[in-house]
Amino acid sequence: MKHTVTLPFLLALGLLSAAPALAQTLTPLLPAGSAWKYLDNGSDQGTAWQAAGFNDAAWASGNAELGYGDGGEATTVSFGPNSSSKYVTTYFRRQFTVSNLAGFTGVKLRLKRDDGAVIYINGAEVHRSNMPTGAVAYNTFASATVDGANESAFFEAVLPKSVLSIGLNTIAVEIHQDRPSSSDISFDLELLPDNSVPATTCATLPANHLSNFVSVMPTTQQQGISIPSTHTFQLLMQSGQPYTNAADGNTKESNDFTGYVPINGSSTNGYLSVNHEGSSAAASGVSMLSLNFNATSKLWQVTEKHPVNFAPVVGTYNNCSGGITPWNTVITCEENSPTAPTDSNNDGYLDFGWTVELDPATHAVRDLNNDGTPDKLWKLGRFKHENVVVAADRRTVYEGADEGSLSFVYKFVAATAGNLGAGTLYVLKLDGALGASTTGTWIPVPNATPTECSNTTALAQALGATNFSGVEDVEIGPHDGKIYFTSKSNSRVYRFQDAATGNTISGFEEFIGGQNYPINYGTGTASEAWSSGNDNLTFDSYGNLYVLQDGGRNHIWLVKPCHTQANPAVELFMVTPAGSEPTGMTLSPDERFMFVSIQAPDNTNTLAMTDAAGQPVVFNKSTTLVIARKSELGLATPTATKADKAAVQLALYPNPTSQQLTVELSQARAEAAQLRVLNNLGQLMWQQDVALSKGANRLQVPVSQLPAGHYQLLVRTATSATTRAFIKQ
Amino acid sequence: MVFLIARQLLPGNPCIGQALAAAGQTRPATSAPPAPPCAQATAFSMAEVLRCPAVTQELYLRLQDLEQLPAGLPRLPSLRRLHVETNRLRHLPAEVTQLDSLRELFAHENRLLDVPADLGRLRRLRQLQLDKNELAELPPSLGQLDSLRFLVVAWNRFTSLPAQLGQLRQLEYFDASHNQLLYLPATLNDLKQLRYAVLSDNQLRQLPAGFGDLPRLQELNLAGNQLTELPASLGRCRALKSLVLTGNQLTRLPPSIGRLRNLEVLVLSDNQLTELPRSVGRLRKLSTLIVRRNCLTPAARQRLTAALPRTTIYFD
Repeated sequence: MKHTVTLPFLLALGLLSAAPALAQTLTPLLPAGSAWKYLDNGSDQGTAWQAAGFNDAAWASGNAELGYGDGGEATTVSFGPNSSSKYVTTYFRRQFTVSNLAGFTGVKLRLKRDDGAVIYINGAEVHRSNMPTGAVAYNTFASATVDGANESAFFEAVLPKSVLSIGLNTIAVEIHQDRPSSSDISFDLELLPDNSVPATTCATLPANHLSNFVSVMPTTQQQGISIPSTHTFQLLMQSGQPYTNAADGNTKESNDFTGYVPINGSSTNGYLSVNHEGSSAAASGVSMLSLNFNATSKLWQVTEKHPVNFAPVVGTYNNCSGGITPWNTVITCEENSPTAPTDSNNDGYLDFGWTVELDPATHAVRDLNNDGTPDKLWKLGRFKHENVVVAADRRTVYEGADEGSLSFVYKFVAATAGNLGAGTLYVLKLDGALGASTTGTWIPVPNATPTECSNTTALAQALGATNFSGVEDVEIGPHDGKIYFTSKSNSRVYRFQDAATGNTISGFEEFIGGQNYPINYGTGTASEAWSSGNDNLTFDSYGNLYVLQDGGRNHIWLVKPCHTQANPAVELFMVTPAGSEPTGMTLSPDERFMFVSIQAPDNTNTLAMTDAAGQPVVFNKSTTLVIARKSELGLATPTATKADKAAVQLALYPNPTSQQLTVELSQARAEAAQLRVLNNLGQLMWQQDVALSKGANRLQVPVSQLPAGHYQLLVRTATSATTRAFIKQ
Repeated sequence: MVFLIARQLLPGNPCIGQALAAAGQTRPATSAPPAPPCAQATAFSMAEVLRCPAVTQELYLRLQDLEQLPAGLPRLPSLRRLHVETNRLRHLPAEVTQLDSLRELFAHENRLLDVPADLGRLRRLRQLQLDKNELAELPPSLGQLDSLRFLVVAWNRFTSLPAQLGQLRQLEYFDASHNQLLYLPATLNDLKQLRYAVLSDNQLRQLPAGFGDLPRLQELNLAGNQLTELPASLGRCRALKSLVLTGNQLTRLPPSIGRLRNLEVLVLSDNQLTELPRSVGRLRKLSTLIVRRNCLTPAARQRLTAALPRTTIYFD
């Protein structure tokens, strides 16, 4: 297939000196329809076959498209002797030569895969498509069935050009069936120079801005939090604390959406609405805090703490994330499973699965139609809601469904600005397959009657909505006006431009996910896997996007507005406590303060950190924090935490290494420890128990048997867990 | 005894030390405060239950990586709600059926291969959630759950359901979607309190003859099956408000569909229909009709538009 490229790119390549700006054809680095070696005997090839030096001389060869069952193959491969129990994995390899890497910023991968694929270049995984996260074995099934137009579509992704080397490169691909009885597989692949988004330099933030920081070093979760050394935190609430009125009992568990609502626009006086994502109506709910910032002590004070009364709307269930409206109310979202699905008050609406608007001052549900009875936001539809975002026009709302294969993106346009009680509901339908299509249409979804509102998902499906596999947060970029949303199962953040008029969208594309990103933590750079679980999103006004992760290593990432997949601009803001998921988050209007929750950390965490108020904080229950630069929060008392003081002084050398890794660590006391080596998938590769002496210790870790790649060394004692990255050559 | 320790035990739980000791695990470094008297009706660990079996009314063991519940589950005479969902359970212990006060049992999102044969002993059970497991059959004793209002068995491996299902005379909500059901028991007609039925994404080729004597049925979802026709008796579901038939093989609808006088939503996308019966013009409350991706002739479209002037019809 031919592609076009414009003048600047050709000029950069030296292919054009001075010519009219006409589109020209572009030579692929590896064209579709190429010849590939393949192995179709159902065997378990482990991981050795991925390496550049693997000997594939005994494999068969043939031109792409390779596969069977759908009639489009140039080369038919075998599915084995049993058509109802076909081989799960078929392996492909080939080599290709790259003579020049100058003049383009990335590599466009175009992949036809039915059903799932994992791709390695020169021995390192560079992309996976429709495959689960984590380790993939020869009997791992693809994530989802591929059918219809997706069977013949080329799915596109942009890789950093650093995946390629000048000279000979080796690409290895494994295609996985989604089930033993599936009728077909397909594989073809193309690599092209990509210059679609030229490298840009991110704008410089003010020196004292919250989002101006040096990343923390990526590690596995430890007992406390790890945030930039320029920042500090203060505890605001932990689960199990008493409400202001004793009769209300204690705050519940599983803190989730953490929404700061300013009073009269104040960044120092407001409400904090904290969702509790409980497993039943009894465990769910919202805590509404009143809080203010004391300019003298430079600390926040929580003055009142109340549960929201949802009794007038027969309770809520699984209060997940939410949003703050431009008119300073709170919307809490029910990410319900079909538990107790009934219409217990016979109002025509099923009880759970809605969004609910709260008045933070009265901590009560709003009455939207002024009939004296509070309402849920029926017209926004019933499904497994994650969050909502209300645009500055006070009418347009974007929301998503975290509902398996029925995970749709919706838009609601209110009839009256500032009142979400009535309006038109739409669902997004891309014009082609996800990964291939850049345009789409908003399809109206009936929401006139209670029956229609209660059946949003079935109606959207019947109207042809596009499934985005676990839509979590949806946000609006303050810098570009684009709509950003997370697809949890695809481990991607997508974005698109909504048309100012009409019912179309354009520029639909992948923004981030699906690969490793370099994290510069000041004294080194680590390649950290985006992994699975991108979930909540929060923008600052500069377009920096905080991504909170429920999966992988549960980080809080920051993605700069100049980020592209070819030229990553990613930082790491927080390594979260063991067992937890970061949730929330909102910022104060002046962006000095960040409000965020740590949901359900391990109750066995015992490490006490000292917060900006000097109080010890153990992350062994759901915790809500405010975070700021040290100059903004707390007095200039010693801000080093107990955890900091107790941190193991740990050094590794040589790094990179090929045979032996020397570990030097300094101990405050003698104690037992365990050394572990983990690969970049978090898999345990080696471990040893050791007895550490007080003072300096020097240990040796044998690494000669490890495959080349990036690893983490974890030193775990009874009270600490410290991680350092190293590279095996 | 295989009993993985909870990841999310509630903070300050005084019983954790006992639980760990009972499971043969190492006691954590924290020192446990003295155990308070048995006053809490809600427990978040087996240790709490073992300490206060008589008073526990609600037991939450969700999301704790449990591979099995400990053998010898004590008699819990007050237990009304049991949450063991989102674990890795392969079986439920037989003692579960001795929880005489149990009203609600949440065992979804596990790896259950079976449920106790005498499940029907839970005569007070009102809600049973077994979705997202690996169940291939339900025991006939299910029919004895004569208090059951809500039954969710979606996302399992059922090819059929026991005839005794029809004995659940209090059942209001039934979700058996995303299974491999080839047919439904004729006794489904006996569920006179049924209001919501979700039977989508199965392999149903037809509905039982006479299906339709369900006077309270408001919502029926049969999307993603292999239905080629519907029985005329469906027209007897006079309370039906929403009928979803997306993605079947329907070539015609019975004229009796016009008797569904309360129908508000009719979804027929992705079928083989060339026309709809003239009787749909009697569906005066129909607000939404979706007929995308069928084979409707231009004449059939015109007739529909004329017959349903107050209905929003989605042809494309």
